[in-house]
Amino acid sequence: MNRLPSACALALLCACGPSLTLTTPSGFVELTEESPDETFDYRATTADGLVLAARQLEHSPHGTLEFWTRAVENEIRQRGGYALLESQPVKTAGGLSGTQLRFGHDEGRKPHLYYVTIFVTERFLYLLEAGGEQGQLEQHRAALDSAVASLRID
Amino acid sequence: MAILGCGALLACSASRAAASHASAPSPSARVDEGAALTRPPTAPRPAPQPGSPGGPAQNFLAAPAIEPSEAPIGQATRARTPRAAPLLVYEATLTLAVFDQRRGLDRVEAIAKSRGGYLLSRNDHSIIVRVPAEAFGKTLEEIAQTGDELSRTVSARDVTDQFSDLSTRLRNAEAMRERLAALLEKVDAIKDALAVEQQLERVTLQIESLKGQLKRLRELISYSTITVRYQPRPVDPVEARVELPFEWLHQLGLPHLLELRR
Repeated sequence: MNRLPSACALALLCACGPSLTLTTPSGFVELTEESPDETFDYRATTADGLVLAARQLEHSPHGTLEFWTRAVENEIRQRGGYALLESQPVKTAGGLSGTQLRFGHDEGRKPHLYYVTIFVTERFLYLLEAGGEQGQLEQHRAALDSAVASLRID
Repeated sequence: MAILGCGALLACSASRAAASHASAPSPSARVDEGAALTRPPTAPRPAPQPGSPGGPAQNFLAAPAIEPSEAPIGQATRARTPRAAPLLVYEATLTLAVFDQRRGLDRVEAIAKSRGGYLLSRNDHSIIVRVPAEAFGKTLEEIAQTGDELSRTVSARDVTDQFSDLSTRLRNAEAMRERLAALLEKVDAIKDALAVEQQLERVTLQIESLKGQLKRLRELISYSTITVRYQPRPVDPVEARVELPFEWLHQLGLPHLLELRR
């Protein structure tokens, strides 16, 4: 069941806005209940707590992909405990270009990884976050990459 | 028998060395000698320049100009001047408050280099430069102008006796080496030759060590050390952290992401 890619049409931020669709990666289950603080528009997790989440934000004020990437990078790096391991361009199957920031984070004695992928369109910002213990994330990296590439804006 | 003979010869050399040491000039003469040693043979003494007002730096020019290169010590021992200035090692520490530390550090380095000095060490908050002794006062004043001076310490260490003592020991050691070399020519027995060579090696090492110490001392006299420390002004601290006014940025991070019951 879980292996079937479930296309998830997410709630729209505004009635007339587009929705984002993400293919839930293999090994994950989608959390259908909306998070109480409404931070995320999509969340999925493995049984071990590796989480993939996405959110759609109104693109206001306007900025370039470079601006928002830098803003996210600054925010995470200044917070302490995170190290930027890599920054690389990504592209969805639909041709939308974005940037993925890969951070390392030592939580107790367990190293964690935290990926933030940013896509920018005229009207919306899309943030895809993935995080969990290093070993688990590396194990699911291909599935997560596929999920990021599957982002579709309707 | 041969060893006894060699020992006697060495004892004779040692007594001659002692005699040479005993005939070393009186303390006041030794000062003169040290000064004469360090004065460049051809270059004229630099004209005095005004030092910083009221500070010990005023007198730094009283020290003779020292050539950092090896001076012909043996040849200069007989040169005497009626009255010579002491040999001084100058050091200064400045604490400055500046707006831009990095720029301040760059300026200090540039000033030192422009006056013939060089960088000794540097980190984010301090810098140590060395400048020719004759440029010490002016360099110090110029560096002090690069920031808001909070404190200044200037010291002059008199190394005249140290220099003179090292020079005398070097002369004696060189004389001893010459005598041992001459002795080595005369001895026939291998045991004697080995004993003399052993002494020759010891004295040669001693000479090298003394020359090294003199060279370091000359360097210290020739170049004054200036340490500059920067201290940020403790007023109106500006938060270095970038805080963009987008709430969602503050919701990023692993703790928020991994809290599934939220």
